[in-house]
Amino acid sequence: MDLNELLNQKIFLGQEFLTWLWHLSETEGGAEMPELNWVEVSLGERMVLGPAMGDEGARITVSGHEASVAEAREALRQGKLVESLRLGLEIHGEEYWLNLDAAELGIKSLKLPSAARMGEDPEGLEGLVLERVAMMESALKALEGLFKRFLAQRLDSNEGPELRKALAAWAAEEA
Amino acid sequence: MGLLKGRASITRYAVSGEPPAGFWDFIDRRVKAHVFQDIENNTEEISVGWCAINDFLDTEFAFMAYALEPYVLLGLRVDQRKVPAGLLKKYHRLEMDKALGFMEEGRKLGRVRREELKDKARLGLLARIPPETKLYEVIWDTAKNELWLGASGRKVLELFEEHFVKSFGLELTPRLPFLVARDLLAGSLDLARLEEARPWGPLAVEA
Repeated sequence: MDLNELLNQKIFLGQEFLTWLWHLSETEGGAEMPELNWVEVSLGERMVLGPAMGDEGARITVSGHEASVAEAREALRQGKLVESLRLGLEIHGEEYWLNLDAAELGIKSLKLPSAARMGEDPEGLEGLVLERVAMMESALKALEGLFKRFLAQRLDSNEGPELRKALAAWAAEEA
Repeated sequence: MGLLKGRASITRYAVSGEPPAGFWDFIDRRVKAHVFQDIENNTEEISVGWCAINDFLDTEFAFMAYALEPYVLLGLRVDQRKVPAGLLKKYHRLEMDKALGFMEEGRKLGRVRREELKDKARLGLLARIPPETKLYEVIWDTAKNELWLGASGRKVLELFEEHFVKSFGLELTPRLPFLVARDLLAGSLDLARLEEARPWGPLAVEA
């Protein structure tokens, strides 16, 4: 099969992963990761839901917290899945926030815990690059760890159907 | 929003292809051959090229300033002139009025002539409008063959991909969910299941 065709066929993975992240934030609240220990996962105040792959329908954008969770849960019940969200990760006690989209798992507006300022001298630049890269790598490592955990459950012949059932039951609950 | 300042936007690529022996010499030659070329004093609409990651005016790369082993640090400078549609319409009209002034009364300009005058108006404006400069940060981890671009807009991604391939002759593959999944599951039984996986579809159906 052509790679582009395969990529198009598998774009549902991103939507399902983001929906799982939301579920994880409300149930276990995080996950244990190799090298990173416990990574806390929380939901930010913006989320976009759209029709599941192959379905048609409008997108819904929700923002704000209490009201938005109820509205987003209602969208889930109507058959939509998460297309993008703002996600909080707490790694080694430091907070990262980022916007994640389902189609490309692209990372936007990544807020790092703290970083050196851009310096004029090359040594300042080197320090800044290494510090920022290390922090961005931590966030990416956590995300990939979460994605791997999702895939392991999602693709397992026993756990996969159980996971879908658990998400469906959770979606059916009132927020 | 780039990689080194403020909130970061990251587009990730896998870099594939075999660079020749003497990697850093190869990088030095290719970067310098494809540095940014200024269009301040001509009428070019767009120019794309490499500059220092932290200074769009620095295209010299003294002491291989882009090298922070194993990283290659580059800025992609994009200068672009944009002619506002309303301005073009105005100057096109002025050009047409001027041309009509040399013609017999009642005669009209043909389609080809009108297009020529539009191009003339456009070129005249391009010469007067300074290009806008943007810098996008690039961090290439040569140990992991992974590259980060500090941008996410489709147009910028296309400009970057084209310039990177032209510069280095190496292939870039965006780290899309399926490809990331395939890498994460390499060597495990789940890899075959990944290829066979079908969408869950709406969760509400099971509720």
